[in-house]
Amino acid sequence: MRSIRRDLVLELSVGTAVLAALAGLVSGRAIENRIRRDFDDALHSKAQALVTLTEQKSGVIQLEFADEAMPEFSVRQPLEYFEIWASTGEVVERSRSLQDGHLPRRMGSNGEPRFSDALLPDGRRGHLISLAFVPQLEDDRDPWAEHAANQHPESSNELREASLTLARGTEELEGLVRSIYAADLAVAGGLACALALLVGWVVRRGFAPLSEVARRVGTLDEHSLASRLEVNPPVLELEPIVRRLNLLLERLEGAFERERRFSGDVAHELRTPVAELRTLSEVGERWSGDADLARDLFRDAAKVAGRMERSVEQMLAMARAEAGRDVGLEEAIYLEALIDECLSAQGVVSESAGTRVTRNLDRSLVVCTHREMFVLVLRNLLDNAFDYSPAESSIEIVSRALPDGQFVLEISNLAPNLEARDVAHLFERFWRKDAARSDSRHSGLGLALVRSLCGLLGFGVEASLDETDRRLTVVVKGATGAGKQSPSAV
Amino acid sequence: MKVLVVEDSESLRRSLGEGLRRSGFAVDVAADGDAGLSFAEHAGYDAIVLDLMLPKLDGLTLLRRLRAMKKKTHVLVLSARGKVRDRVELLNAGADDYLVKPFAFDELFARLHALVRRSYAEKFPILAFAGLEIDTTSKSVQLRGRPVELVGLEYGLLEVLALRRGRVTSREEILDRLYASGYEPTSNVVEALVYSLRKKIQPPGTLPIILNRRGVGYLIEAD
Repeated sequence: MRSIRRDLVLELSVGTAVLAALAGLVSGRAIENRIRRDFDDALHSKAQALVTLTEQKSGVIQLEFADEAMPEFSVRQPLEYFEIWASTGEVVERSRSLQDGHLPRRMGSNGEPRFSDALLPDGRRGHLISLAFVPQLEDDRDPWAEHAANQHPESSNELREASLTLARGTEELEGLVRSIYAADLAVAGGLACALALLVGWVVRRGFAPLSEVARRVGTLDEHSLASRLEVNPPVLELEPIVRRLNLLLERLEGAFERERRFSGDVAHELRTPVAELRTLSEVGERWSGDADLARDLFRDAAKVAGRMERSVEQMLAMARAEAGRDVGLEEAIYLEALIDECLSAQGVVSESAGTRVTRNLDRSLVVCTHREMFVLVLRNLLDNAFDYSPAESSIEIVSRALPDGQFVLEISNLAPNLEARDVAHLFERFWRKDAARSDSRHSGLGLALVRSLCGLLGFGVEASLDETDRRLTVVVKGATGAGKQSPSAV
Repeated sequence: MKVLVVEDSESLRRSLGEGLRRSGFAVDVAADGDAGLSFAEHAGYDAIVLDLMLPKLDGLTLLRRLRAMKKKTHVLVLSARGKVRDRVELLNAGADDYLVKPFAFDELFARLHALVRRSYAEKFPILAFAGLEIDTTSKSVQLRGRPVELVGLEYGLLEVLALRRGRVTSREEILDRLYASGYEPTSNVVEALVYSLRKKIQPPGTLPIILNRRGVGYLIEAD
């Protein structure tokens, strides 16, 4: 698997090693150039010294030279060589170190020295300087010189010219250059290794917070979803990752909590009535001789069974809706008539509770949909509105067609116990405001069923709470499907 | 023995109350957590049967508050949730036992009895002394091997005094254990019960089993 840390260490190490090697090469080159320049300067100085020692007298060029002063030109220690020629090519003087050998005669241009490389008579590689010069007069009153000046007063060129080649072995120079490059490379290599270690340490240190986050993520399980990741001290680059991980944890915690609540709610919805029936039957059986007790217990058992039946029916309807089954044929329905039909079923309840119903319905509104499913939606919405409305309050039902071929149905009622944060949970399965789930009339599936059915019918459903007058409004919105079919009588 | 049943389901509350009452318990019932806490605070119970999901005040909070008040009454929790984590949480909060719904009434009854025995440091369901054998499970009594017919309150009084052998039990404590809260018995009911009980369990010519400590209460002496 690819490792960012390994890649970083590798790439940074190789990069820094290459840079160090380049830096070594550049600095080595600079030092080499300097050394070679110094070598040339020394050669040039030595050549100038030889030029200074070369004189002419009566047209004869001669060199006042003593081996003792310059032992490098001796036969015994032949390190350097020189040879001086007259302009005619005649050898004027040569170092004893040359013995039988010769140096190449090369002429510098315009009095400038000329440097070149060549094999020395002793077979070593050498560096040469060649220059042309006019040897100075030994005596300014040399009659030969005066004669020459009189013959050619415009120029002193009639003095005899000479050329010099001076050579020196370069093995020391080349050895020095090689050792400089070797030292540079060694320093570059050492630097690269040190940098690799440093980079490795820095990268590991830099990645430590990430490793810590990974370690903490590794310790998370379904029991620790409430914990949140934290990087101390905060790291700018990790902050978005940690924030997103924490958001993920929050969502997971919510999902787990919903799942846990769902399991608990299902358990409560099913186990409580079963426990009731079991206890009722066992107590009834134990004191079966008491007719009054048996009658009371049977009555309770019938109520419990009825409640269970409603719960099971809702769960089945829910399962069918979620599975997308039971989608019958669509038909065109007058919405007002259908609402009236559902309201008539609520008549007794509303009268006993003193609930008023305010209708503001579009009489001509026709919705083309699946009748049975839509009735289930309406009945559940109205059941909720009637059951949770305080006594003597009003329920408002509004329907209208929208210009874009859609319809809106709003059912609102007072919900004094509801809080804004509850609205998000209203359509969750088994959610109830009362965590104890004591109200035996509801199982908490009604609105979840409404949402599933609306989804199946292609409608949207939303709820909102007006916190000023604590009025809950459920809005169903969707396409009327007008024109598909003619409406039938309800 | 007196128990408190805190359960929001009306039918369960009624059937449990009736079943326990007919089994010889004095039973108080509460439909929500607030009422349950109020009962538990102000009356003495041998055990409390507590539902977990309750309106107003949930069972777990009620239990914690009860323990915070240093109430040592044994609590048997009823819940639809039976996961190990739920049980551990409840036991750590101070519950003494746990039953997952649905449950058998006989099991609830047996567990309640076990809790009551524990509250009196009794390990055996049969209390034997002075020739008497009291079976606290079947609520039956034998005197020297022969059954003794006792009415509910007589048996209740004998069990209260037998479980507290060696300790004087006041008249008020006896009434508290024999009658549900809010019931006002006649003023000399305890004396009448002691009188009728003595007649049934006292062999002729022997020292009295139930002793009267005038102005303090009654006791059965320890073995």
